Amino acid sequence: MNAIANAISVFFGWINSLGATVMLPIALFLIGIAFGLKPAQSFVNGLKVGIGFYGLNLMTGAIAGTVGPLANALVERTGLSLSIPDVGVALHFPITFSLTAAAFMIPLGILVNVVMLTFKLTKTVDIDVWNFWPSMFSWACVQGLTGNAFFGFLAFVFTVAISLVLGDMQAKYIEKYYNMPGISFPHPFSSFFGLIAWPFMWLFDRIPGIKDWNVDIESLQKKIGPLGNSTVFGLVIGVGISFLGGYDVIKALQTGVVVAAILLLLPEMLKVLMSGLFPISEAARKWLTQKFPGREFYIGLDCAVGVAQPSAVIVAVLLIPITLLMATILPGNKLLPLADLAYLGFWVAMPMAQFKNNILKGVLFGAIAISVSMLMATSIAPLVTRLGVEAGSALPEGVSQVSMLTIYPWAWVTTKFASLFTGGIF
Amino acid sequence: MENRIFKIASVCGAGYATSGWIAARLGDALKERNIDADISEVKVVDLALVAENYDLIVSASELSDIYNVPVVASSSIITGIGFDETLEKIIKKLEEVKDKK
Repeated sequence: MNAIANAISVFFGWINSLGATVMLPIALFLIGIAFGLKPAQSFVNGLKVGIGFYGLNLMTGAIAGTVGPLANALVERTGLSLSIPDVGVALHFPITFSLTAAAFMIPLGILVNVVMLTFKLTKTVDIDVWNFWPSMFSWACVQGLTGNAFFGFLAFVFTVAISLVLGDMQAKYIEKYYNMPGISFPHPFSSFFGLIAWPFMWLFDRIPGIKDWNVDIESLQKKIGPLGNSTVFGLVIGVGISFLGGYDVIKALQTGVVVAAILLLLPEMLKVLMSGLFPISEAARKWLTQKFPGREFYIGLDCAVGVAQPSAVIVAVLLIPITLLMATILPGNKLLPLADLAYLGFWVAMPMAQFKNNILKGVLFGAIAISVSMLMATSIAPLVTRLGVEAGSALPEGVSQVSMLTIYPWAWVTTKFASLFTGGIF
Repeated sequence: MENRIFKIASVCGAGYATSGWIAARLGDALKERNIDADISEVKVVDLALVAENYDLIVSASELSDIYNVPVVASSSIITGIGFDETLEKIIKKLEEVKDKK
C-alpha cells in the first residue's frame, strides 16, 4: 500500500517538475483524446496551449522591467501610494495554469455542471469551458493560502456552482435587455457583479434624475468609441503616468509604447493558447447539448458577450479616466491600474442588462464596483505575488508586489473565508 | 464566390475567448462552402478604429450598426441554436460586399 502511495507521489512530483509548458500539452492531448478528437489534432492543440503559455511568460519578463520602475517613480515623485502595478493576465495565467489540476479543470467543471443539472440545481448548460478557468483562480488562491489541494478543490466547486445559480437568476435580464433569449452568463466575474448590482437597481430608481436618464447610444458610441482603442489609450496612459513620475520625453514615449504593448500583446498570446482549447470546447458543447437537449435549459456563455453590448462599450470607455481617478483617491488602494484597463466592460457585462442599458447607472455602478475590485486586488496582492513568483512569473524590478484589477471576486471571497481558519491574513 | 478572401472581424469583450471560438466555427463552416475567409478576433473597445479594414463584422452580441461595414450578431454560431439562419445571413452579407473594394 505504501509503495503505491509512494509511486503516486513520485509520479505527481515528476509531472510538476515538467513545468506548465510541458505538462499542459500532455494533459490536454490526453483530454482531447478522451473527448474523441483525432490524435494528430489533439497533439497540435495541446502544443498550442503550451506555446501560448510560453509566449505569455516571455511577455511577463519583458514588461517586468518597465512597469516596476514606472510604479516606483510615480510613488516617489507624487507621494501616491500606488505601489502595486496591475499586470493583469500576466499574473493570472501563470498562477492558474501552473497548477497540476488546471489540466483537469474542464472535465471537473463539466462534472459539477452535470451533477447540478441532474439534481435540478441549475438550468444552465455551460457550453463554454472558458467559464471554468476563472474558477481555477479560487482553487489556486485557496490552495496557495492553506497548502491544501482539497480546500482548493472546494473553492473551485463553490465558484462554479454559485456562478451557475446566479447565472440562472440573471438570465431574464439578458433576454429582455440584450435580446438574447435562452442565454445565461455562468461566469465568476459577471455573476458576482450582477449580484452586487441588485440593490443598486433598486437604489438608482429612487434617485431623481438617474432613473430616466437617457442618451442616444449610437451617436455617443460614434463619438467616444475610437477613444477606447486599447493600443492608443495604452500609449496615452503610459506616457501620462511617465510624466507624473518625472520621466523625460524620450523615456516617457518608450514607456508608453511598452504599456500599449502590454494591452495588445498579452491578448495575442492568449489567442494562441485559446486556439488550442476550442476543439475541446466544441466537443464538450456537442456532448452537453446532446445530453441536455431542448429549450428548457439556458445555454451558458462567457460574459465577454455582454461586454460587446453597445451600452457596455460606452461605459467601458468612460470608466477608463474614472478608474484612474478612483485609484488615486480611494483610501487604502495601492493598485496602479494598467494591464486590465482594456477590460473595464467586464464590470458591467451583466449589470448593464439589469440597469436597462442606462449609461449613467452603468458608470456610477462601475466606479463603485471597480473600487471594490481595487481594494480586493490590494489586499490579496501578497498572496498572488507569492503564487506568481512560485509559478515562475518574473516580479517587476523594484516593486515588492504585483496584482491585477480583474481579481476574481469569488476567489477573494473564498480565500478570505479560508483565511479565517488559517490565521486571518492573506 | 471564388478568388476572393473575405476579411471578417469576430468581436467580443476580451478579443480572444468567445470571439476566437466563433471565428474557429465560422471559418470551418465557410470553408465547407468553399468561401475563403480571413477571420480575426477583435476586442470590442478596439473595433471603432479598425472596423473599416474588414468586409464584415460578426459579434457575440448585437452591435450598433455604425461602422460602414455590415454587422451580424452571431452568438448562435457557438450556441448552435439558429446556427443555419445566422450562417445564411453571413453568406448573404458577404455576397453583397463581394464586389466592393
